[in-house]
Amino acid sequence: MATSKLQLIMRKTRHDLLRTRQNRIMIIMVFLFCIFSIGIGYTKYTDTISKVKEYREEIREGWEHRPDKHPHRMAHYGYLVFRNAHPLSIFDNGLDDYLGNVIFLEAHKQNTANLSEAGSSGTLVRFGAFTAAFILQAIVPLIILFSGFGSVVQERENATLKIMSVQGASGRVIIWGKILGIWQFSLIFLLPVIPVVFIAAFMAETTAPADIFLRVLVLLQAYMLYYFFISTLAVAVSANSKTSSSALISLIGSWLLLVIFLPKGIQFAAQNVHPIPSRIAFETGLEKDILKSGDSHNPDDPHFKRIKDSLLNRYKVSTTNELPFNYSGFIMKEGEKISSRIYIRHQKKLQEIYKSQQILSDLSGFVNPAMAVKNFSMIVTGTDLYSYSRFQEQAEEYRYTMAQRLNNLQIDHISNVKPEKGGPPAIIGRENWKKFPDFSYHYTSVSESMKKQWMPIAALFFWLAACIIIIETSGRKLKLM
Amino acid sequence: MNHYLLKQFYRNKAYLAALLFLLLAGLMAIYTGQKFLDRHEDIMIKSSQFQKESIGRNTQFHQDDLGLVLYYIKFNLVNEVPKLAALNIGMRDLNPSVQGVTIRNLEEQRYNSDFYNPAGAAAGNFDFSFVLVFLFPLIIIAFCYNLISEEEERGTWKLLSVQSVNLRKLLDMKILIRCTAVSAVYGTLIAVAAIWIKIPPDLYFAAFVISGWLYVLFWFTLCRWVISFRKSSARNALLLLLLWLGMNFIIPMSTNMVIQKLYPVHESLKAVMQQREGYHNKWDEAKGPTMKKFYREYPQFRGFKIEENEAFTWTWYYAMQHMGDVEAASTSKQYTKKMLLRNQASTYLGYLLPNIHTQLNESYLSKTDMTNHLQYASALKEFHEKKRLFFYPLIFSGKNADSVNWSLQEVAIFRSSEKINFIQLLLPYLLFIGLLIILSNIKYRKLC
Repeated sequence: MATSKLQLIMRKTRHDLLRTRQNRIMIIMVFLFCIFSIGIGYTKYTDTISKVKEYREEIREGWEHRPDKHPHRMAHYGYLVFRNAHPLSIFDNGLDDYLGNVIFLEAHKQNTANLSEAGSSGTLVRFGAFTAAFILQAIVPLIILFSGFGSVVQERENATLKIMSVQGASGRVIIWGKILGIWQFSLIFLLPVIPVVFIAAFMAETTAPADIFLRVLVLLQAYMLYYFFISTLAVAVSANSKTSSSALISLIGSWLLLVIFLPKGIQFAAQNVHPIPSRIAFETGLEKDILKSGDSHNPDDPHFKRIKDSLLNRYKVSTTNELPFNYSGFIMKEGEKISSRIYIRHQKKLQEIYKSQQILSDLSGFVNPAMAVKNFSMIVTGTDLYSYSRFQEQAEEYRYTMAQRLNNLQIDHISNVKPEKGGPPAIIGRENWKKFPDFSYHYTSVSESMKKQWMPIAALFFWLAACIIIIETSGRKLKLM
Repeated sequence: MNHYLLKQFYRNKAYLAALLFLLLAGLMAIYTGQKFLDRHEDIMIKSSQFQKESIGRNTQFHQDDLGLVLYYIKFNLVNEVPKLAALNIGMRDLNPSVQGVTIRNLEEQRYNSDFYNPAGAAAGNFDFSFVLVFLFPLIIIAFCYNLISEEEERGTWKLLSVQSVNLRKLLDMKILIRCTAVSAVYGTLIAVAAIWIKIPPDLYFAAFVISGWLYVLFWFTLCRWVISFRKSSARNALLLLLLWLGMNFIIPMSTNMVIQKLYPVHESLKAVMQQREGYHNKWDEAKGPTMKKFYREYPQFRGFKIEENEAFTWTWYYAMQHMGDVEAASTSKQYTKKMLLRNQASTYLGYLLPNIHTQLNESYLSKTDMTNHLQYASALKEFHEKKRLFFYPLIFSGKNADSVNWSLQEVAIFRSSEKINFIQLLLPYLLFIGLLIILSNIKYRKLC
C-alpha cells in the first residue's frame, strides 16, 4: 500500500473534520458533559462511601458493645454488610442503580440485598443514568456517523474521487485513509476523558491506583476498537451509497438499531426465554425442600429425632439435658448446615437463570458491537452482574461462618439446663463479640471478571476482524463515479 | 389532488414498512404486558396458597403457643394490578405487588423487593408506553423531516408553488395523511390491547388513550414547525433527532442524576439500623420502660402486666418488636418524604417535556408509579397494625391456636382509587400543541 498516499488522505480527513467550527464545539461540549457527569458521579460516590463508612463503624461499634448475651440472641442481632461500588462506577454506572447495597445477615435466614437506588426512585430512573460511558457509547458514535456519512459519497458527488484515483490512490488506500482519519478524529473525544476518569477514581481512594490504571487502560482500548468499528461503518456505508442523504439515513437507522433497539430487544428476549421465578415461588420451593430434609423447628422431625436418639445412645444418657454440651446449639448447627446447603442450591438455580440471560446478552455482542462494548465496559468498571454476585457470595459465606461460630459458642459454653427463675441467666461474656472479624468486601479482580466473561472481548476482536474484511472488500469494489 | 397525495403516500414502500414496524413493536409490547399480568396472577395465586399452607403447618406444630404461630406466619397484602398496567409496567417490576409480613417489626420486612435481573431492569421494560414514547416519534420524524426540503432538493418546489393555490394547505394535507396513518396504527394497537388484555373501558383507560394520542399530535406539530424553517433534509433530520435524543435521554438522564444527588436516600438504611438497635437493645434493658412506652401507645393493653423478673413472655416480646418500629418511625417518615420530593421533581420536569409527562401520566393512570407505591407502603403499615391489634389480645391472654378462625385470615388486597385531574393531565399537551401550531403558522405565512 502506498503509505505516503494513505497518510495524506488520513491527515486531510482528520484536518478537515477538526477545522470546522461545529466539530470543535462538539468536542468541547462532549468533554464538558463528561466532566459534568464525572463530577456529579464523583461527589455522589464519595458521599455514599463516607455515609457507608460511617454506618459500617456504627454497626461494628454496636456489635462489639453488645453486653453479655446468649449467643443465639447475638445470632439474631445479626450483622449488616455493605457493598461499595467500584470507583470506576463514576465513569460507568452500569447496573449500579438496580443493585442492592446492603444485606442484613442473621442466623438460619438468608436475606437478599435490598435498598437499591432504583427502588427509591420514580419512573425517571428508567431513562437511565447520564454517565460518561453513555456519552462515549451512544452520543459520540452518532457524532462520528454524522461526521463520516459524506466522506466518500460526497467526494463521488463532487467528482473529486476520480481525481484522487488519477493521482494514484487506489480504492483501498482511499477507504483506509478515510477510516483512519475519522477514527483519529473520534479519539479526540475519548482521549481527554480517560485521564479525568483516572484522576476521579484515584481521588476516591477506595482501591489501589494500579488496579484503576489497569482497568482504565483496558477500557481505553475497548472504546478505541469500538470507534474503529463506528468509523468503518460510516465510511463503508458512505462508499456504498448513491447519495449522501441516503447514506445519512442508513447511518442514523443503524445507530438506532445498534444503540437503542437491539440492547432493549435482547433483554426482552432474554426475559421471555429464561423467565425468573417470583420471590414467593422461590421461597415456597425453598421452604418445602428444607421441610423435606429436616426442620429443626419441628419437634417431630424424623431427621432430628434420629440425631437425638444417636446422641443419647452414644453418651448413654436418657434425656438431652444430661448431655455434656448444649443440645439445642448442636441442633441449630446441624439445621444451619442443612438449610444453608439447600439455600445455596436454590440460589444457584436462580443465578443460573440470570447467567443464561447474561449469556444471551453477551452473545448479542457478536451481532451488535455496541452491546459488546457496553457489556465489556460494565465488566471492567465492576458494575456488572458477575461482580455483584461475588458480593452476595462473600456475604453469604460471612453469614454462615458467623452463625456457626455462634452456634459453637452455644454448644461449648451454654448449660443444657434451662436457668431457674431468678437464677443466673444463660449468657456468655461480651469479650467474645470482639473476636469476630469485621466483614470487608473485596472487589472482584478485573482479570477474574474478564476470564469468566470472555465473550464481550471475543466479540470486540471479532468486530475488528470484520472491519478489516469490510474495508478490504469495499476498498476493492469502490466505484469512482 | 388530495387523492393523489394519498396515493403517493401509500405507494411508498418505506412508509408502509415503517408503519408495519410500529405495529409489530406495539404488538410485542402488548405481549410483554400480557406476560406481566400472567406473572402477577401466578404470584397472587401462589401467595394465597402459601399463606394457607403456612397457617396449616404452624397451627399444627405449635398448637398451644399462639405467640410462636404468629412469629412464623406471613400475611400477604396484594397491591391490585389494574389491567392497564399491562400497557405501562412502570416501576411494578421493581416494586413488589405482593408483600408478606409477620406481625413482628415492619421496618425489617418492608424493603424486601421481588427478584429481578438488574441487567434486565436497567434496560427497562418493552411495554406499550415505551413504544409510544420512544418509537412513535422516530417514525413521525422519518415521515415528516423532508416534506418541504425534499421538494426543494428535487427542484419541484418552484413548480408546486406555481401550480398550487395554497401551499400551506398542500403541506398540511400531507401531514394530515401521515398523522392519520400513524393514528390508525395507534388506534389499532389500543383496540388490540383492549380486546386481548380485556382492559375495562373506564375513565382511566380513556385518559390513557387520549394522553397517548395527544403525545403523537405533539410530535407532528413539532415536525411541522421544524420543517417550516426550510433547512436541508439532512439538517432537519439532525435537528429532529437531536430533539428526540435530548428529550428522551440527555435531559431526563442528567436530571435524574441531579435528583439522586440532591435528595440522597440514606434514610432507608438508617431506619433499618434504628429498628434493629431499638428492638435488640430491649433484651438487655429492664422490661418496665419498654412496657410503659407500649402501654402509652396502646392503652387498651394496660391490663396485661409484666413482672420484671419473668424470663420470657410474648407480651413483652411483641412490645419490644414494635418498639423497633417506633424508634425508626421518624427516619422512615423522612424516607417517604424524600421519595415524594424525588417524584415531585420529575413531575415538574414533565410539564416541560411531553415525553416525560406521558410516561408519568400513564404510569399514574396504570397505578405503576411512585405515588401508588407509597400509598401501598402506607396501606401495608395499616394492614400490619390491624393484624397486630387483632392478634395481640389473643396472644397476650395466652390463647391457643384454635381460638382463631383461621379461614378468615385470607390474602388481603389493596385497591387505590386515584382521582384523574384532566386539566393537569391534558393542559401541558394542549399548550405545546397550540404554541407549535401558532409558531409554524407564522412561518408558513411567509412560505406562500
